[in-house]
Amino acid sequence: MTLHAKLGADVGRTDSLRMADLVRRYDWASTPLGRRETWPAVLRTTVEMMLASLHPMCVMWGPGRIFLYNDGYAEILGARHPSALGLPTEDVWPELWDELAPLIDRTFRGESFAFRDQPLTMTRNGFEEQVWYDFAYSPVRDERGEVVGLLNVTSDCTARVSAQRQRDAAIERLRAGEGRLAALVEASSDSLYTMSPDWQEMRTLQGRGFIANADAPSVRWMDGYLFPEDQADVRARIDEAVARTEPFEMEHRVRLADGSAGWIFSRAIPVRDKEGRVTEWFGMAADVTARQRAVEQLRDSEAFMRGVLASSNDCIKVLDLDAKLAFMSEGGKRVMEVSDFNAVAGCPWPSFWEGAGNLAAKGAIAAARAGVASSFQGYSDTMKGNRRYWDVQVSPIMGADGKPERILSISRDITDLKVAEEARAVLAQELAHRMKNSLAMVQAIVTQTLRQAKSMEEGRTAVGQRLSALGRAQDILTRSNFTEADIHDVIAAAIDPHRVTEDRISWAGPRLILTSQQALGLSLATHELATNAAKYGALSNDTGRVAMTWRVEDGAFAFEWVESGGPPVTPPGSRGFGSKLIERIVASYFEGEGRVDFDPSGIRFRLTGMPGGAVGEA
Amino acid sequence: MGQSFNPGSIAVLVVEDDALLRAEAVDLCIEAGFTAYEARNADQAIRILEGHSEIRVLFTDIEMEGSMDGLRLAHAVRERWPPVAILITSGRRKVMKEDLPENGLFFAKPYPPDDIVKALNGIAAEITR
Repeated sequence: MTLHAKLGADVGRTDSLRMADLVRRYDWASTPLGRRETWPAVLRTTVEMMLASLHPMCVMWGPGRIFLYNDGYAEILGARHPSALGLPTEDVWPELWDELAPLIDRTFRGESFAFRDQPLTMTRNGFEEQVWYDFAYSPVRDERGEVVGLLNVTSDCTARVSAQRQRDAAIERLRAGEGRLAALVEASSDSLYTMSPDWQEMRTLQGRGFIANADAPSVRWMDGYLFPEDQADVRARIDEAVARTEPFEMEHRVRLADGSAGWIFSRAIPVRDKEGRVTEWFGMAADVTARQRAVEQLRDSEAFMRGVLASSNDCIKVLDLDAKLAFMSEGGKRVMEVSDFNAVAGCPWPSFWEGAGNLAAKGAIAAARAGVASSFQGYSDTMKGNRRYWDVQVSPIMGADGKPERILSISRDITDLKVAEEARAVLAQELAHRMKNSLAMVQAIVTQTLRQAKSMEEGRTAVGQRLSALGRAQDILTRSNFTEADIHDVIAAAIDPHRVTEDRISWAGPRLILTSQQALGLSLATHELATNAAKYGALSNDTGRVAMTWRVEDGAFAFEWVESGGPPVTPPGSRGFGSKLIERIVASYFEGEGRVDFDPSGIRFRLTGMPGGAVGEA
Repeated sequence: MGQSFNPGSIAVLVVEDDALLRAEAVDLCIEAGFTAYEARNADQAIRILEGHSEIRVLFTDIEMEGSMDGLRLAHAVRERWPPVAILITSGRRKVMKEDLPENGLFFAKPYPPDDIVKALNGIAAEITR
C-alpha cells in the first residue's frame, strides 16, 4: 500500500484508505482551500467533526463549493470516490448541478434544507441496488457569522422507505382486494348481515331485494324476518353456535320482502379481535325458496304417490329380477290379507300362483326380464287361504342404463267379476237351452195343430191362440227366471183373453208354486178348455159359468174345471189335439191323470197329480 | 214313397221327458208308418226294450232326469241291443260324433220332422234288405 501515491493515479489502492488519511494527505494547496495548516478554525473543526461521524456527511466549502466527505458518504459516491475529494461540487455532481446549485446557494445565504427519501442507485455490495437517503443541508458560519460552508448530514433510510413502500403496496393490494371483495359481494345475490356477538342485535342487513334491508340496528329483528312459529328453532341453533363460537349454518323459513314466506340458507362466522374476542358475526343468506318449493312439491308428490299406493285396492308389488318380493303396497297387503310383510318378503313370487297361473307368472317374469310387459289371469290364495282370481300386469322397471332393473307387478282382485262371468256363461247356456226347448215346444204345438186342422184358416187361428197362451205363461215364468210360477198368476193370465163378465168365471184355491212345465201345461189346458167353452160350452151363451178350484190334500194335487148354465153338452165325435193336451200331456207334467167328463149339464175336467214344483223343485 | 217293406213291423222307442215333445215325436213316427213306444226316462226305456224285441230304433233326447241321460242310454242300448239303430237329439249342446255310439245320428232341437222321417226310412230300408 503506497500512502504517498497521488490520488487518482492509484484508485485501486486509495479507495481502501479511510477518509481521514485521504484528507490529511490530500494536496490542498492545489485547491482554493489552500494548505490545511492555513485553514480557518471553522473549516478545520467542521472537517474533523465530519470525519469522526458515523453518519454519511459531506461539506461544500467556500465560493468554490469545494467538496469534502467522510467514510459514510464515500459509499454514496460510489465510483466518484475517491476522486470527488477536493473538487468543486459542480464537478462531483455535474448532472445534478442545475438542481443542486440553487439549494446550495440558498444554504450559503443562511437557509437550511432537509430532503427525505431521496432515491440513489448504489453499488455497495458489488451490485447495483436502490437505496434511499435523507439529506439535511445546514449553513456553516465563521466567527463573524458569515456562511462559509455547507454541511450535508445524511442518513440511509432505505429500510424505512422499503418498509413504507411495502406497506403502501400492501395497502394498495388491500385496497384492490377490498374492491374485489366489495365487487364480489355486490355482484352476489346473497343477503349480507352482521349481528352483535350474542345475536341480540342485528347491526346491518342488505336484503338484496328478496328480504327487507335493515336500515338501523335492531334488537327486534327476529319479529321482522322470522315467522313466530319458526323463531324458537332458529334461536336454538343460534344459541348453539354462539355457545361454541362455531359457524352458524341453517336453512330456515323467512318473511320475504313481499311479506310471503320464503326459505334461506344462512351461514354466519364469528369475527374476532386481536384478543380473540368475538366482536360480531358476519353472515350471508342465500335465497333457496325455489329449491325448497321444489323439494316441498316433491315431498307432496311423494306423499301423493304413497297415498295412491295405500288407497289402491290393487296389489302393487316390486320384485327383484329373481322375482323375489321386495315391496308390497298397503292396499296390496289388504287385499292379499298380508298381516306381516316380512313373512312374504323375499319369497319367489310365481310360487304364489297355482296351476296354469304358475306357468303364466313364470312366463311374465321371463318377459319382464327381457324388457317386455305382459298380463295374465289366474287363481291365487290370499295369505289367509281365501281363493281369489286376479288380473295381473307384469312390467319391467328400467334402470338408468335402459335395462330392466326390477319388476313391477300389479294384481287386481277380479274374483267377483270372474264369478259373475261364469254365472253369465252358465245363464247364457241355460237361456240358449230354454230357447231351443221353447222352439221345440212351439214346433210341437204347430205340428200337432196343423196335423188335425180341417182347414188352413182353422189351423192358423188355433196355432195363433195356442202360441199366445204359451207366450203369456212365459211372461209369468220370466218373473222367476223361468223356474217356477204361482198357480193364481198362471190361471189369471191364461183365462184373461176369454173373460166375458167378472162373475161368470171364477177360480179359488191355495197358493201353490208350479214348475215351469206345469205352468206352461196348465196354461195350455186352461186355454183349450176356455176356447172349447166359448165355442160350445158355458161361455157360448150369456148365462153359463165356469168355476175353477184346486186343492192339495195329503200331498196330492187336484184341479177341477166345472162348467154350468151352458147349452146341453154332447160328447164330440173325434178327439183332437186339445183333448190330447189336457188329458195326457198336462197330466204328464203333474205325473198324474187328466179326465174330461162330458156331463150334459156342463163339461167337467179333473186333473190329479203331484204338486211337483212345490215339493220337488221349489 | 214306394216302400217295399212294412214299416209297421218296425217299432221306434221315443224317449223324451217333455210330454208335449214326446207326443209329437210319437205322432211323427206313427205318421211315418212305424209303431211307436214312448218312455219319459232311461229306466222306463230299458224296461220297454226288455219287453219288446220288435223295437229296432231308439230315438232319444239327451237331457233327462233319472239314472242315465240320453247319451248313456244310447251307449247302453248299443251294448245290450247292438242291432237297434240310434237317433239322438238335444237342445242343450252340439254333440260330437265321437260322443255318439257307432252309427248313431244326431239331430239338434228343434229338428225338421222330415229329417227324422228320412232317417227312419233309411234305417227301415237297411233292416229289410
